[in-house]
Amino acid sequence: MKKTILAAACACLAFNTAQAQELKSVGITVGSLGNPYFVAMVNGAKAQALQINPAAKFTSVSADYDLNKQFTQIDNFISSGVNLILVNAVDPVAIAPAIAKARKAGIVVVGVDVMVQGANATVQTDNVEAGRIVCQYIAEQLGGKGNVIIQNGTQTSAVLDRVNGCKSVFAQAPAIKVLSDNQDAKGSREGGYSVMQGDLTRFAKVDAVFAINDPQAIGADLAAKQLKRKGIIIGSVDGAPDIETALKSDTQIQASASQSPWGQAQQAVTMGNDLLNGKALESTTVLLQPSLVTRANVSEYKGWQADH
Amino acid sequence: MTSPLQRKVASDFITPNARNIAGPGAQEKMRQLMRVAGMLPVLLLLCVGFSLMSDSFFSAQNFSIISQQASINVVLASGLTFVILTGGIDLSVGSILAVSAVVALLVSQVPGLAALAIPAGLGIGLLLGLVNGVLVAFGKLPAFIVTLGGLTAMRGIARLIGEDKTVFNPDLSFAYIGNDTLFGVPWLVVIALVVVTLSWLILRRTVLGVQIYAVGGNPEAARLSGIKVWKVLLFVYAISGLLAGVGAIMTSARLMAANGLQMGQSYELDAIAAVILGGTRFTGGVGTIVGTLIGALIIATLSNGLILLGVSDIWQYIIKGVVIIGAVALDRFRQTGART
Repeated sequence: MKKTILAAACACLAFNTAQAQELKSVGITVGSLGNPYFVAMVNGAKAQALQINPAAKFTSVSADYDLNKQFTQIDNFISSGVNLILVNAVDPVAIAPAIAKARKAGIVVVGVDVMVQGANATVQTDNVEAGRIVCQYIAEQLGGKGNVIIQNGTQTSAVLDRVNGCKSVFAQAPAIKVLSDNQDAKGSREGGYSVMQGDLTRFAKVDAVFAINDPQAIGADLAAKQLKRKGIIIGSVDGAPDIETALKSDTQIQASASQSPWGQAQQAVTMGNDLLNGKALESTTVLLQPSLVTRANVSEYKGWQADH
Repeated sequence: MTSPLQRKVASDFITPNARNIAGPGAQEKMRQLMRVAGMLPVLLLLCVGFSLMSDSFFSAQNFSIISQQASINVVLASGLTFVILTGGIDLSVGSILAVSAVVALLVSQVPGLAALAIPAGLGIGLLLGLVNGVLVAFGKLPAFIVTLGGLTAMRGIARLIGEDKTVFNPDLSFAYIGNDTLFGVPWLVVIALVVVTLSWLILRRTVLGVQIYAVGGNPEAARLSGIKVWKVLLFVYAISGLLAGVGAIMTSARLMAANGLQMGQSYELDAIAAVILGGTRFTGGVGTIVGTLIGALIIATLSNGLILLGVSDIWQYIIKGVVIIGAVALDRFRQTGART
């Protein structure tokens, strides 16, 4: 008799803990902490996690776009007993086994910024739209004709989406020639700089460059400045504070599709917490709409909502 | 088992360096020329080849680009030439560059201290170089191991100082180094040429230079002839660190930013390749700064030419690697001295 009551009590307890977990420990792994975008994302996630539970443990790591590294980081999160993992996946498909392992351990996994297979939920910007609106702007500024370069980056789903969005716009303008779209600038300022140097050396006439993120665009602008090449329209995605400065000063950067890393991270943590508490989500994939920031409207742009 | 001293005594009398100390003979001069000239025809061949294959290669602007891209490697490779001439190696130059760049950027951000940014960067480079030097000279630890440890440890320090984030400064006080020209010559090239000239002067016109060659050729004999080997070793590693600091100033001036993790990654490999391509023997004692300059230009020309031809990133990696292997093979081929 005693045994059955004990067993029932244990079962109730277990059932309860499975039902509603407190957000005790959160782990986030991002592509590269060298990019202020991800720094803002980490800060946003931390702020939200601490708001939900001021005693929560928060760990952030940088995967440096290395799949192996990210695998190890997720393993470490699992063994350190986190409740929630936010993943900015280096590769949307290849990371799936690690995600599955985490979910099996009862951890909620939410993807941020890029698609990832097997996560409980994903929050990202509509990157296809982001690529589209910037390249649409570029195409209009060029009057429908000219030589453009699509400066690619590390092949995450976000980058692939932006490039596809951009290509779809340029495909519709027959007089626009895409000179190059396959050089990997690694999403960094230095990468954007080197690739732009190479492209400007190779091509005598470049009218516009679409860089897949702000650091790359700034690097490209620096390269153009140092090689004394003018008349190039540079556009990118992110809407970072650096790009706001660039849009207000003497650079060739003309537009950027804004994202909200802070907002994305906050949303992801909220959704993760809801899932931990057994609440069903309206939708497991949330796409945030980007907006175009140009020299004309940068003064009204509110920027990434907070801390970066 | 013959002692190292006994084994080397015979060859001691005929090492090229010993003859140099006495005054170079005509035959030795010819051999030196062959060693250096050995790579100049290669450079010219590359230039001719690329000019034929691409329209935009042979232009003033392109040569300006090549020289600017080579400049940072030239500076690092010059420092490495000193080290390799003593028979050592410095794998940590890329990481020292990262630390110096982060420090320089951080100092430049502090209002009022902007002028100290360059000395700070150079100072940190020198300091880290001395750390390497002390461990090699006094700890008698193999240079490979010391600088290999330095490679990762100093990269970690760079990340620590920069809090693993990228340090920006859009109003960099020394940005003119990356962007402007001095009498029409880009500052980067000016700095590289000054470094090469000073290095040549030290190696060829000072007693210290002779001592460096001596230590590389035969450390035991050098020690026994009264040369303070530890001083020489300390000097070369310090110079290597200092020049890594110079390279850091140049790199961060171009980008106006510094990132502890990404900056200077694998720069040491390009620098070593330039030194070896230039004819400096890996085991030390033989080599010239002019050779290093040519080696660095070969690498830069190769990269530039391949980009102009539209060769994909992947093939550039492969070709560059093959060229380095070829250069080391050539180096072994050229060894004329006594083989153990």
